[in-house]
Amino acid sequence: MKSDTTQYIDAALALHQLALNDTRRAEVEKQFNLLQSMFVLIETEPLPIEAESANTFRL
Amino acid sequence: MKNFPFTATDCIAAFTSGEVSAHEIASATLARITQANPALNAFIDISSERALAEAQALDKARKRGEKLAPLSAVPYAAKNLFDVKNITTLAGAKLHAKNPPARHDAKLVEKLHAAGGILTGTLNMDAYAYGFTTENTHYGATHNPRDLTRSAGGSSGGTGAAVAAGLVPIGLGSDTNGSIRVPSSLCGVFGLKPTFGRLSRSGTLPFVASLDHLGPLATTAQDLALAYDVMQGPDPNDHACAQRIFQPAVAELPLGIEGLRVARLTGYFDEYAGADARWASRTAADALQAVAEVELPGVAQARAAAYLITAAESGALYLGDLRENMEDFEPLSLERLIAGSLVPAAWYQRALRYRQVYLKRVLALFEHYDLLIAPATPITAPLLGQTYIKIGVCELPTRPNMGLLTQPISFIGLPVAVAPLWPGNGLPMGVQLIAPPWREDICLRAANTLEELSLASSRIKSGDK
Repeated sequence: MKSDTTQYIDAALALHQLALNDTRRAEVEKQFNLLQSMFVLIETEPLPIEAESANTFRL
Repeated sequence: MKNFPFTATDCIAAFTSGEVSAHEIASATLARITQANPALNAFIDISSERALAEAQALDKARKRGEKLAPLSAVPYAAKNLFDVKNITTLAGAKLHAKNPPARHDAKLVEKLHAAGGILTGTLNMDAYAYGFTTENTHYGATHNPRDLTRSAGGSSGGTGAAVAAGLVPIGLGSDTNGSIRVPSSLCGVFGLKPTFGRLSRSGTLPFVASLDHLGPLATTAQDLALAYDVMQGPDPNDHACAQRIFQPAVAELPLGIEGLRVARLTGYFDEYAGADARWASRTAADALQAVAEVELPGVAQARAAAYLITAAESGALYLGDLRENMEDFEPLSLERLIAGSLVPAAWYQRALRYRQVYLKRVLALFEHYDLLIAPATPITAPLLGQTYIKIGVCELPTRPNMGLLTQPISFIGLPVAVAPLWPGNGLPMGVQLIAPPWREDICLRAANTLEELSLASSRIKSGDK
């Protein structure tokens, strides 16, 4: 059974229309796992609404 | 053979006094480049015709008695992600090789031209600016002039090598996560990554728009300040470029470190520093009379967030090309770009949010200190082709990790100068001199002080060129 991450990567690659051979696909998964390990490291701290990045758009 | 001035400061003095012509300076520079470049692979394009034409115009202006511009007759070169009129902007990538030549110069090239600089060519880099070693599958590796078997650092490795080899006194680079500071450290030259938003990025190929900075590398701190000063100023064409008034740095250099409260960064910055890096950091701290050793809170997370933002934005930027022309991509970066294109929005947003949190914490530290010191790279220049670096007991892949100590600083856009110190093994090691936002003058004063104390130097031989 494929892991959640593997399934996500397969689905995202298909959505992006990126076809990879097995070697390249394996390296992409390795890099993606590294990014996931970076993500879990980042602490979450509530921000005041005015500090949300989406609010930096100005006209 | 006639001796020619080499630093920008000397070029300006010699030209304005009439000692040498701009044509003589340009010709000597082009001869040096032609002779040295085959071994270095720093230059991708040598713009001889343009350099000689610019020199001729300067000589004519002087002859007419016109007021001379501040960088008159100073040769320089630009990383090849800067648009240079009539040259295709490659950003080190075969992918862009079929693009038409640029129709205009990038804003900073325009400014250097207006200031009297002589453009000598465009410089090699890691493809897309994604890497810290300037090992480029399609355009070849750039070799470090201090030891040709070693990396010049990256991604502005061509710029670092060109300045360190004494080919040009000033070069332009970009720095998203350390791409000015890493080559400055490994090649042993001075470098400045200004505050995010200080210098215009118009006419350059982006890599990670929310983190990209541009700046100079130079032979001396004075030259660095000269180049920085003429490039300052707002630009409505770069959305990120701030509306800041001109804040000259050259005039501030004589102030030295007087009145500055200096601290050395420890914790993460010692943990990921090899022996030479720790020596450089401590030596600079002693010389600059540091009053404290402090830890930045949450540095590892900052580096993780910068890494994630870089992956997500660059992956998104190149997604269309990945789909259409995957085989044209740099093999050393391809899988990282693809993986970045798959990053969920929630991950990216968490990284952006952390930037705000971390900035607030670091700014609080600047209430107590004016200047922070850290090593620029974990180790001195690694060998070309060296896939892993060892820091203490830690073994890490070379290309993404030479920026371990620079990423947490550029993540929040702080201004940083790098000054090259010499640990004693013949290879340089840069220290980061980090100031609060918009205080490039402090970084440059500290770099200049280290140079005046004979601790920092680019060790470039002048004379018969």
